[in-house]
Amino acid sequence: MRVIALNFADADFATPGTYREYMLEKVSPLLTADKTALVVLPAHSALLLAWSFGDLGDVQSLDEAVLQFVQLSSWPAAWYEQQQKLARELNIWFIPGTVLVRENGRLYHEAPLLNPQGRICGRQKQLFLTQQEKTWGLARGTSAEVFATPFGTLGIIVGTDAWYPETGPILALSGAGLICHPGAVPEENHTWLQFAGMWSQVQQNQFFCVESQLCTEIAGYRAGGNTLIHAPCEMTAGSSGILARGGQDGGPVVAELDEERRREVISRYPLLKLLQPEAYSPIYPEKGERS
Amino acid sequence: MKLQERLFLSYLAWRTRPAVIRRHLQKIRLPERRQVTFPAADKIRVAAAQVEAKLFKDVRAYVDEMARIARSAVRDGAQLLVFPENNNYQLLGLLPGVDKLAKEAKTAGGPEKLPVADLFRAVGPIFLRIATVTFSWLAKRLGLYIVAGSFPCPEGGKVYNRALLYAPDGSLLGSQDKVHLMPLEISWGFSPGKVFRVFPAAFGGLAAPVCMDATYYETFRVVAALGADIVAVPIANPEEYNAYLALRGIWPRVQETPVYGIKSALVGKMLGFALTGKAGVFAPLELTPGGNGVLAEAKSFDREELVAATLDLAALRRLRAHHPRLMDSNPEFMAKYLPRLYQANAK
Repeated sequence: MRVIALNFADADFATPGTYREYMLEKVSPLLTADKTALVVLPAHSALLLAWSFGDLGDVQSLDEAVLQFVQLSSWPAAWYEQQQKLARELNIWFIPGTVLVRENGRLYHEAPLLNPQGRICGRQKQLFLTQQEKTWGLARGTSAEVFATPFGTLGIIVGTDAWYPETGPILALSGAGLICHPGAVPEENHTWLQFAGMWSQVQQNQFFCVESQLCTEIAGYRAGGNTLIHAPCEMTAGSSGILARGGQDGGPVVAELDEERRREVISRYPLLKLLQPEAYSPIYPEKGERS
Repeated sequence: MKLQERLFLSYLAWRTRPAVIRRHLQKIRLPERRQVTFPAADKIRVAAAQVEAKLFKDVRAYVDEMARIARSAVRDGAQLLVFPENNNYQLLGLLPGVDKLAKEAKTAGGPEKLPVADLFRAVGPIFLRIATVTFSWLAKRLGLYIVAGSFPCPEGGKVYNRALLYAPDGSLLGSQDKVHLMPLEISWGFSPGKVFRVFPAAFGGLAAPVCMDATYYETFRVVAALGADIVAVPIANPEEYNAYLALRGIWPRVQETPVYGIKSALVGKMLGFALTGKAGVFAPLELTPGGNGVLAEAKSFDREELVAATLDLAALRRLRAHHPRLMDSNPEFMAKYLPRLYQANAK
């Protein structure tokens, strides 16, 4: 099964049309008639587009950009519509990055999964918040969903949830063998931040992960992580845990995922079967919360 | 138990009796005992031992080795020293024909066929007494906190892989049974521990989960919830060294759950196993000068080394209180899935 991640390093989106052209140009050559593909875009993709199209005005920081974006009440719906069209046009399974949406008066950071017919199969809300995200007024999601796809059971870890190790095991224990992660880590010290994020989660939970990291600027915030496709160390060259990586040139990062091989790795060393939940009671919410 | 076995164990106990060990320890030249003080800055110097696995035919050689390492740590200013997992396997050299056992395991279908739990049911109490006497004496004599590493410990018919911790007055601060066993240990007949513990030390909370316990984020979340500031992880990893594979234990755990981490390692070849690892001292990215989460790390993965670093506990507490990325909680989300998913997975 083919997975593709883009990082927008070479993007220059002046209008919705240029975004569509960019996507068609990057993704179409990688598609084959006989095989469906999954495409993952980075976090804050909607914010990037709004900023790039000039819809956020003269904002000088990421905080200002977010505050401006959440005032544009029609933007999330328009963004959704555009991504659904793209999924249909390219005939792909699609995680088009993330968007800030209002729901029942609360503001969430979420990533949807779209099928090749453009239908929204589900949405994953961010579950934990950084200090900066709290200042934006974000609310936490309360569910980690998994979705049945031709790529197996799929889960999504949104943005900074990558650094919360609770997310991966819950998805893995719910059956996810493939995690998609839209991220937007800062350029500074991104290597170690990424090892501490999805790389670690993949190694503890033995799933695949398509990590698409934003690699461009939004209103002075310079995101610059590596876009990576992860697998358990045992099935990657040099035991690096990385199947494919993308640099700063904006080229798509592509990998074929071998589910059978992943299952072999798990059967030899079944980490989730070796869990000892009896010992974890101090962190179960009903028995006392972590501060 | 056959008469022959009983006689052998009696002989082994006599050869390694506490009086022999204490007498020998008193002859070893060690620095003067220091008063352990922890200044207002909340700084503590810690050391991690990378111990080369070798079989000793005389208990005094084992004692010499441990004392030599402790002396080096104290000379480096250490107030807390951590020894590796299985830190008395070296004493298997006291058993005649033990090397043959390893060769027999190869022909019998691999190391998992070794009757290791049975072996330690017999000699475990004697080996454990050697460790108890040695590390208690060294801790008191040097005024040092010591995580003595872990030891196979028979109890109630079961065998646990148990870490022992000593206070600077020589008293046993506590013990921690390894909770997550490797498949090899399960095949050997070891039993897992059921709880994690944190021990109060003068500098803060100290925990000592063992080796594979650090594979799981839950371990560090639990000990942090119980008050750990420093988490020592003794390891003895029987796999070829690879930097990525070695990165999978304590390093990510320290990044997810902000604590200081100390990894000690048993390395080298012993009884058909090649043990590798790099002892090190680890911290959250924000507390390391290179931003890489490493304060000190051994240069080799298969030779004896001692690494040391100074930990700033006040800085750790400040980071926890104002961490830019971490320390959020979502009890509603967690309660929806845990412990239900764990219970379903166990079935």
